Amino acid sequence: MTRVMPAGAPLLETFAGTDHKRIGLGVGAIAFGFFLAGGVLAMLMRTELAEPGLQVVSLNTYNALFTMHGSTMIYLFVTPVALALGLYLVPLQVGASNLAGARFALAGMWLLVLGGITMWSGFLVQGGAAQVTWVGFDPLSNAVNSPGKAVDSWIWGVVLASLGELLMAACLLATLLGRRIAGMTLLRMPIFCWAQLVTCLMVLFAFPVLIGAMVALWVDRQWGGVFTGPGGPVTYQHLFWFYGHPVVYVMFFPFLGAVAEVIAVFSGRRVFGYRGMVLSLLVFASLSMSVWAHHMFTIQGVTTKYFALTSTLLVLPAGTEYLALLGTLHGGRIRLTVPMLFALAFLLQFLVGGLSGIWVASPALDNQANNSYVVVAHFHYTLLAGSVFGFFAGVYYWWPRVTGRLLGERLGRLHLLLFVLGTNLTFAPQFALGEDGMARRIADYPKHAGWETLNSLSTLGSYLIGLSVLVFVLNALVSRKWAGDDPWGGHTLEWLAPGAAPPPIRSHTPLLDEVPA
Amino acid sequence: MKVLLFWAGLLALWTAVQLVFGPHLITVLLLGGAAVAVALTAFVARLARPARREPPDLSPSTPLIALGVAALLSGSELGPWCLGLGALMTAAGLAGLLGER
Repeated sequence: MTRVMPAGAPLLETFAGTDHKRIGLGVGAIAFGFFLAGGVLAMLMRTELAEPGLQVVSLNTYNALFTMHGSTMIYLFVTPVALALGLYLVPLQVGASNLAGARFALAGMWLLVLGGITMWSGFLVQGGAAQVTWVGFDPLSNAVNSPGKAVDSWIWGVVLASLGELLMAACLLATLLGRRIAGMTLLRMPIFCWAQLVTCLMVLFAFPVLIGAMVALWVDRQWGGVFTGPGGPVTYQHLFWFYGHPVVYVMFFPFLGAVAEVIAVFSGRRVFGYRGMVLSLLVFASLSMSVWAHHMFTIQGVTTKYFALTSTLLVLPAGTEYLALLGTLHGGRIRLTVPMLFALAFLLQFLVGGLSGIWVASPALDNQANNSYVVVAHFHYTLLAGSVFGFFAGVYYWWPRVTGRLLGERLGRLHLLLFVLGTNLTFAPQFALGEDGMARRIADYPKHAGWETLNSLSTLGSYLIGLSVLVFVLNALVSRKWAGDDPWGGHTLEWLAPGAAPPPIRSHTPLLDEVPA
Repeated sequence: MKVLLFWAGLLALWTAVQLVFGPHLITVLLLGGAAVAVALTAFVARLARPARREPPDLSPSTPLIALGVAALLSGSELGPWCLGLGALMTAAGLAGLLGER
């Protein structure tokens, strides 16, 4: 049975093993740990915002909390966990014995954890952790406005984690392109593999720009002269958002792929419009590389018409993918298992984020929403309400493959119910708060603004999300029901391992010589 | 590698569309540069011979290199002792890597 810490196995094997399943599980476990830590920071922020006035943290601590919450969730949780799914599953799905360049992936795992430690070490330095937002906006992040070591720790943390993710993505892409078993043509690959392929493309060609921007920021903090000119801060934002928008889709496509697999299996059908979906993924990924400056609509000198056009064009591939998933459901023998329920919830929840995205893709409307809680609600509906629902759909679906056990159905449904309630209770009120003018990144608001009720509801929702995650952890700890070889009737190669469900962590051989027609 | 070339073509297309709108140099360079980089990767991947040698089951040198790199970067803040330690670990890791199967 595959475990992160196999009983009796030498510790060295856990820390230095090159098997893709071990690396995938390691990255997933590290990322989930950071998810819990980032979630605690979010609940602290929501507790502070429940009432007007400062009750829990100081202004500076609040600034550090939202910086570290965003940084943790994006650099250390969603991106790595998206890749972790690929590290574990892609070789199995394409029939490869291991990742191409597995040692690079192992290095990536270590760089991720070291990056996280480096970033969080900012809490130990004088003045607390970085307070520069997850973007590290210049000139807020320069040495004059943010002196001390915290921002430098944050910068190197981002560099290390992103470098690790880059290495993992390179291994995945090389595996997808060069390690497929005979007969596994590109257009026979599961849709999850295609989702991973386009994800890796974005990581490989956007993340180096982030690493470059971070190194430049560090140089600027030490000696100046990089972003200090009149256009310096705008240049920094171009460099940052060239990474910062593709990463939204890096945090989306793998979960979309997982949801597509889940929907196909639990509808008893193949993915509807497979080729169209593949094409739409490639177009979607290319467009997502070309929309970055919609984050800069309120800044003078940005070509707003072009970026509004490309941002609005995103609805075409997104619509194609929704059509493919709905087409898969149509006429299927639908089984409403927990993974399927999470997948359906993903479709509905992400729709809110997607539709509100069309709104903020318009420069005129974005000018009104910019820097308000509307934006906070929008991106949390895409990232938490979208990606994390897809993540849990995948976790419930592949858990038997990884552990040999089924997660409990009742606890799973309770998890889903609390998660749906919590998500909507947290973020739906934020649309209204933003509409009413509440700015993001504030620790306090005036009593006469009348925002207390909506903020209290939002805080209550965040506690429900926290509770739902605890239910999931409990489920993972107590569920012991043996799953058998293939409990769901899966369509893809990872379910065809001979014998009992999980293949051994070592001496894994290609699953099939030929792909069934 | 057709998939890489196709994707490079898509990036080039969006770069070309930019030109209609009188873009700033940096936006053309970023997206156009990415298109060129993807095309170059496709070219290199076509030339590269697939390495069929499997890595060893254990690679303690790999985490050592990662630790070394992290120490080197942190050393810029923590001081020469950390830089030295990082350099030592990286060198030891690289040497160990050469000795692995």
